Parts: sequence; structure tokens; C-alpha cells
Amino acid sequence: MTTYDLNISYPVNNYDTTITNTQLTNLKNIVITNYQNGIYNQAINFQIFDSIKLPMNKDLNPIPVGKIKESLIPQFPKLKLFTRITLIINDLSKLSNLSKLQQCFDLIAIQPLNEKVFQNAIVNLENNIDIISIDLSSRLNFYLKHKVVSNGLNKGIKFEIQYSQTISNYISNDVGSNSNLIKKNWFNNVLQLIRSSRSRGLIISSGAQNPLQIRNLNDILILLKTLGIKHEKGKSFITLNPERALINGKLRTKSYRQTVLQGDENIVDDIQYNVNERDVTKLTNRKRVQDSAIGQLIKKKRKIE
Amino acid sequence: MRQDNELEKHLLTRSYDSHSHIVEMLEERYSIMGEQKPYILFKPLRRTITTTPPKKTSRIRKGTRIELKEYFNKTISNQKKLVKKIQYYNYIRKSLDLEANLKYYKIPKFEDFINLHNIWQMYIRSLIFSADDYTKLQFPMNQVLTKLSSADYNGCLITVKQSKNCNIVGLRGIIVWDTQHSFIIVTPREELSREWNEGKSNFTPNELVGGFKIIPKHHSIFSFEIEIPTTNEVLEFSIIGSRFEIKSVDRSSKKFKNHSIEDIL
Repeated sequence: MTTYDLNISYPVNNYDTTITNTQLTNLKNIVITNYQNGIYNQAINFQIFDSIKLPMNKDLNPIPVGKIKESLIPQFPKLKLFTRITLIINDLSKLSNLSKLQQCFDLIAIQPLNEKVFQNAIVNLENNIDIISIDLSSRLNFYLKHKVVSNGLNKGIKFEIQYSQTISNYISNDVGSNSNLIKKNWFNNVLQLIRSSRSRGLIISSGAQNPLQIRNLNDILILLKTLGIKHEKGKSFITLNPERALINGKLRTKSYRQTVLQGDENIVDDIQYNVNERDVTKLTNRKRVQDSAIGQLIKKKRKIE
Repeated sequence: MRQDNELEKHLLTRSYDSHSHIVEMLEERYSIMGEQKPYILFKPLRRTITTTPPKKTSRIRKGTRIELKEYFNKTISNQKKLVKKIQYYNYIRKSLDLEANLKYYKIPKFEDFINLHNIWQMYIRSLIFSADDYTKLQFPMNQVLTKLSSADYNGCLITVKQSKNCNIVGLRGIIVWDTQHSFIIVTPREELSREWNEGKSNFTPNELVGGFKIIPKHHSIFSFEIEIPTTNEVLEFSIIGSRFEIKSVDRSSKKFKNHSIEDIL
């Protein structure tokens, strides 16, 4: 089974600054470490606050995926890289340009900071988001209700757990919280999440900021075991659920509400597609008549007649 | 009092045969000068017990839906019979005249439905392409997909790409009827029945017979193609069956929503 890590944090948090060379090598090192641990499918996570305005005439996706792939694929042929955006939301009314972002990223996640956003996101943004990633390092200021969470699960939204927050040198968004407090909050919050979702539809990802925060699959499963999740269930957090989130993200751009899909490729085997293909005006699903079913069945008959 | 006394006339026809006699009786009853009988004499009804069975009248018309259902059921059971027959003939190592049997069991041919498919192609082209140029789409792609989700699919040529039931993967045919939970398709025979059957010499009895197949929509993905006549190319689309489980009548006004994708695969 293919394994996934859907959260490798991108070092830049806004559109103004570009990534430096040292940061880029650091990012590449994280990807390589993950690859050596047997995780071939990885998503780079671009995190912004909702107060940041989206640039009008710039590429909305600042992550240089093509560049990273070019340098890494010759050495690591099985590697698949995805891009993901996480919007940290305090007020849902500021959020308007989700449809623009859909064209640029493989996955869209949100991080709600209060209960109102959390509930509204599940009810109103059901067609636009794939993942809800709650900040587990700080104390949650609301109670996760089973009804709300399971409502989200039925709509195909997955919930994320980042394990790098338990590892000592994690740099949190909050200032003034020491690592012991972060760990205590993390365990509390994860138990909350497991309780409210009945351990369905959860994703575990690294969220790593440097290569030392990556752990291998056995370590992750042991960590989950301490939280009371069985081996088989824990495996689905790494393999099955992330895959579904990715397929959900792909169907959002390539289909109308999961009914009619553009093209006929196998959606499970080939989740990744090129950035060039995202241009909606182009007809990418063309095929020659000789290769199609029509050519084989109907045109042949016409010739005979 | 009405002049023609319809009611009484009608009552009297049940007990008297001749029309003139009835008219005479009624005239007597209502004449100003005559007897003016205040009563009518009815004879007891003659009950004739017919011993001959009732005549075979022409078939009673049922609803179209019921008739269609009966037709599908009958042809499918006929197909099963023919498959059994082929299996038996294979078992006793005798050759069977397949063409004659197909005619005898009235199994529909794929070739008869090609015209239906051509009409469907014209319909779907008028739906998505701009009127004069077939290489340009009328709308951007996401709106085309919206249009396609509410289109009619009777006559469309589909291929089963994925399914939980691996026996039906690769089947292809023209949709004859689009029900809520399944597509009924007419499939071609022998070499054309599946994509990978080309160049094969021996076929299974099912592939030899062809005819109608009922394909459940749940847990399967179908692909279909739209011809571009000018450039010798086709546009490919797929239908996700699990989200299509609505009657084709209701689908045009249905507001679709995203759900958990566990059941798609």
C-alpha cells in the first residue's frame, strides 16, 4: 500500500517574500528523509492567514514543485509531490477567493481558530475543502462535538493530526508556550479528536519543519497505539484516508460535484496531474477516434457497410 | 317528460328483442287516446350459460413501463436459455447454428441501435459545442460538466471502467434505458464485446450471445465519448455511477452535493 505524508510545511508564510536557497535545501532534505522512510507521496503545505490578500496578477501557488521534482526525480523515481494550502481562519466572512485557490492547489485545508468558524466551515464549505487541521499544540477554546465532526466526515472532510508537534524542537505559532505544555495539550486534543470522530476519517501527517522531525511508519503506529488506536486502524490514517483526501481534491477540480468527470483516467492509480492541465479552457481530454470505443465499435461497422 | 324516453327504451331492450315492438309499447303507454298503461311489463332476464371459452381478444394494453419491463425480462431470460443451450452443446461436443438460434430467441443486435447512438451524438453536440464551430466549446469546461450532469443518456455508448463486480469491467454498449439504479445496455457480440477481445478465437457463451445487460450504477465508473466530426477526435468524459443513482427525469433538476467518496471506489 502506498503511504502518504500530506503536510511538509513550506517555510514562507506570505506572497511577498520568496524562498531562500538554504530554506529550499532544507525542504528538499525533509522530502528525501521522508522518501527514505518509505513515504513516497508527499504534499508541501503552504500556510497563510486569512488576513493576507491574494495577489491579483501573480501565480497563486508559490511552491516551486516543478523545480524540486526536476532535481529529485532522477535519484528518487517513485516520488510524487503535491501542493496544499492551509488557510488559518479567524473570521469566515473574510474568506472569498476559495474558488481561485482550487485551480492552483491539489488540496485545500483550513485551520479554524474558533468554534463558529469550525461549525460554519463544515456546513457551508463542504464542497470546497478537503481537510480540517485543528491546531493541536495550543489549548482548544471549544469542545469538539461528535455531531458536528461526524457531519463533516459524511461530507468527505478529513481531520488532520500533526505528530511533529510532540517532538521537542517544534516552533509553535504561539509565543511563550514551552514544549511540555505543547505535549500536554497535544495529547489532550488528539484524544478529543479521536473521541469525537470515533477514530474515522483521521489523517496523521508530519508537519515537519526540519528533517529531524520526521519519524518512520512504525514509530507513528506506536505513537497511535499509546493513544488507543489499533494497528489496522492506525494504518488507514497513513494510507487510505490521505488517498481519499487527494482523490476528493482531484474530483473537486475535474468533475462537477462528483458526477461527471473530465477524462477517463483511473482516478485511484493516477491521482497526480500536471500543473499545465489545470487550464480549464483547454480540452485536455481529447483522444483520437481510432483509440476510442466509438472508433472500434461504430466506425468499423460504417466502413463495412 | 322527454320525447324519446331513452331510459325506458333502454330498460326494455333487456327483455324484448325487436325494436319495433318496444317503440309500439311505448307509444301505447304515452298516447293521449289509447290505454295509457301505468305499468311496464318486464320479462325475466334470460340467462344463457355459455359453455364455449371466451374468445381470445387482442392483448389488453398495459402501461408502457410495465410492457417495457416485461420485454427486458423476457429477452434476458431468453438470453439465459440460449447460454444454457450453448453450454449443453459444448458439453456434448456438437456444433450449434448460432445465427438461427439468435433469430429464434429474438435477441436484439447491437447494430440495430447504432442509429440511436448517432442521434444521441447529435443531441449532445448541440448541447456543449457552439453552433457553427465544433472545435470550440460553448462554455468553459466546468459549465460543460454541469450541463452533462443533467443530460439525457439514452443512446450513449458507455464502457465500464471500474466496478466492484469485476465480471462487468470492460463491458461496453449503447444505453437503451436509464433506470434509477442501473443502466440497461445492448452489447455487441464476440470480438467487439470487450476492448481486449480483439484477435481472440474462442469466446465464452455470454460473449457469443450478447444482447441486453443490466449494469448496476453503484460502485462503478463509466466512460463515454463525444465525437468532434471535423478533427477526427473524441472528447472523453466519465460518469461516477454512485452519484448518478437518480431517475433520469429527476436528474435535470437535482442539486448535486459532494459526499464522502468511500462508495465511489
